[in-house]
Parts: sequence; structure tokens; C-alpha cells
Amino acid sequence: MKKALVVITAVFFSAMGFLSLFAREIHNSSLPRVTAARPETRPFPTEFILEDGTVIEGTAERIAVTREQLEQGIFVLYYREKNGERRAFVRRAEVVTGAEKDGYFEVISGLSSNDFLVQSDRLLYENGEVILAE
Amino acid sequence: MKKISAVLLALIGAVFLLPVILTVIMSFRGEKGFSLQGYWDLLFDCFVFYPMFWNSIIYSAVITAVQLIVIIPCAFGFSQAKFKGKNGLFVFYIVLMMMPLQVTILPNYIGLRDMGLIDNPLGIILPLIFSPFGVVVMHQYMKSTDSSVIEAARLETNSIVRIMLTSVVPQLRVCISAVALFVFADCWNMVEQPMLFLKTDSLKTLSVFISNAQNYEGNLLFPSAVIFIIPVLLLYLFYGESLEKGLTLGELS
Repeated sequence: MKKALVVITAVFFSAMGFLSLFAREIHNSSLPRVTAARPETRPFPTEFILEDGTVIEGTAERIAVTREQLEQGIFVLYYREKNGERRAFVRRAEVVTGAEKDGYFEVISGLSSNDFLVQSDRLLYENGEVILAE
Repeated sequence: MKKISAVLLALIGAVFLLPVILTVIMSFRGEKGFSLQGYWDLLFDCFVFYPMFWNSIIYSAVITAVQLIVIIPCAFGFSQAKFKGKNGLFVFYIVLMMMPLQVTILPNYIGLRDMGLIDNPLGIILPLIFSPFGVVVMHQYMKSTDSSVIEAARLETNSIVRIMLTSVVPQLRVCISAVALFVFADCWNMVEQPMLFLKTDSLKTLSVFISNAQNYEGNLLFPSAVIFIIPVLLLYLFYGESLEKGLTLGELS
């Protein structure tokens, strides 16, 4: 009986020691690795209306996304506290697109220049936790 | 009559065991029946748990060891030394033993604050170095030890420490195990002192984690409670016989 207790105690504390050291790595290995970057901006044709009503055509830099990004879904990085730590999560951005030029779609709403767009080779989920690749 | 007592004791035992059994069952319960999701959430998604677990182990082990070093000579002094006010001092210890924690916690906090020991592990360990309970139990047990061994040791050496270590402590092994078990369990379960005296989460103990489990995401309460039970349970299974002998022999004396 004592021998069994010694073995159980050794296994328990060894497991707790192992998990204390490696639980975070095990957790992180199960999360999608993502890269984050500010959204690209591209010049899109636009109209400027002067005070006297004159319309001037020109271009303005607007946030742009590719067709591929639209098809895969646009995810934006955000941070929140979970279990006493600040962690990275992603949420789906519902973008409204406008004109298309050179394979890029103008974003009218749903994204701001302060957002970080996320790219990953794994499937992302709404409010899913992610790891930022270094 | 014996059968009725056995049945009654079994029922009382079942009443005490029921919360523990329910805790274990609930720790494996998910939304759709049996699930290990709670343990996964606790062990692989809540990393503040580990420092608190090891803090509990360290504080309890250190306090137990230091208390034994303090209370054994103290109890030996009570049993062997003759000085004025000995009985009064012993009664004072018994009064201290009966004093609830809530009475002393505020003076403790003020003293630790003035010493700069708030949010410091020493703020947990130092106030618990001395335990009147351990002195009283050990003193009662020492009364039943063989005094001729001490007399024989006095012929060989004048050193009180050597007499205590070579003649008295070996006779007290059972009592020491019993007291150590009580002290460890008491320190393991303490929640007020870490909650009040420690501010940083990484210094707090597992008992504080369990009391704040609803602040964390996931079903963490029951799995953490099961893990909380294990060290004390293992210690009791190791030293349970000593506990029984230590308490009953002290009574017989």
C-alpha cells in the first residue's frame, strides 16, 4: 500500500511539475498561428464636391482588400483578458465593399486603419484565440 | 448494539463523504454528460493555477517544518523545566488556541503592514511559525514518554538540545507525524491570510484560486477542488496511522 502511495505521489507531483513548465506550450501549439498587419490602402477614384457645387474627379487612398481575403473572411485581431492574462483573439469583420480596381476592393465600412488584419494558414473562428507568429 | 453503531457511523461517514464524491462527479461533468473539458480548461488554459498550486505546497511545507522546529523545544521545555508561572503560561496557550482567526487577523494585518510584509510570502509564513495547538498536543504526549531515558541521557551529556534530539524526539515520532499532518492541513486550507495579506496573484494560494474560480472562464471550480484535495489526501494516507496513534496515546496519558 505504501509503495503504491509513493508511486501515486511521485506521478502526481511529476505531472504537476511537467504541466507547470509545459502546459502553456501545449496550449499554444493547439492555437492557429497568425500574422497581423495594418490593412492596405490603395488609390480609388472619388468625387470631390466643392462649395459652389463643382464636381472634381480625383483619387483618394482607401482601405482595400483582395478578393481572396473576402472569400476567406476578414478577421481582425483584438486583445482581451482571459483567466488573468491578456491574450490575442480574432473577430470577423463585416465589411461593405465599394469599387474594385486592380483586384482590390474598396472598403466602405467595417474596417478602420487602426485594425490589424490577420492572416493564417488554419481556419479561424469568431472570437477564437490565436498566437501571433514572431 | 455494535451493528447499530457501525451502521450509524457508516451513515455519518457517508454524509461527510457525499460532498467530496459530488465534487469529483461534477468535475467530470460537461454539457453533454461525461467530459474532461473542465480539466483541459484548468490545466491547459488557466496558467495562473500553477503558481498558486506551488505556493500552497511551499507555504504549507515551510510553515509545517518551521512550526515543528519551534514547538518541539517549547513542549519539551514545558514538560522538563520548572519555572514560575509555568501553569499560567500553559493556560494562556490554551486560551490562544481557542481564539478564532477573525479576532487576530486585523492586528496581524496592521503589524505586517508596519513591517512592510504585505504582499510578501513572509507575511504568510511568519505569523504561523508558532502554534499553541502543537505545543499543547506535544506537551500532553511528552507526559507519557519514558523519563528514565531522559535521566540516562543527562548522565551522558549536559546539552539540553542533545538530550532532546537523541532521547525525546525519537519517542515522539508518532506525535510529530500527527501534529505535522494537522498543521499542514490547516495551512493548506487557509484562505483568509493569503486573501488579505497578499495582493499579487502569483503569490496567492490554491485556496484563493478556488474561492475566485467564478472569475475565470470555463468550468474550473470542481476540477481545481479535486486537485486541491489530492495532496492532503495523500499525506493523510501516508500518516493516517500516526495521526490515530498520536491523538489516542496523548489522551491515554
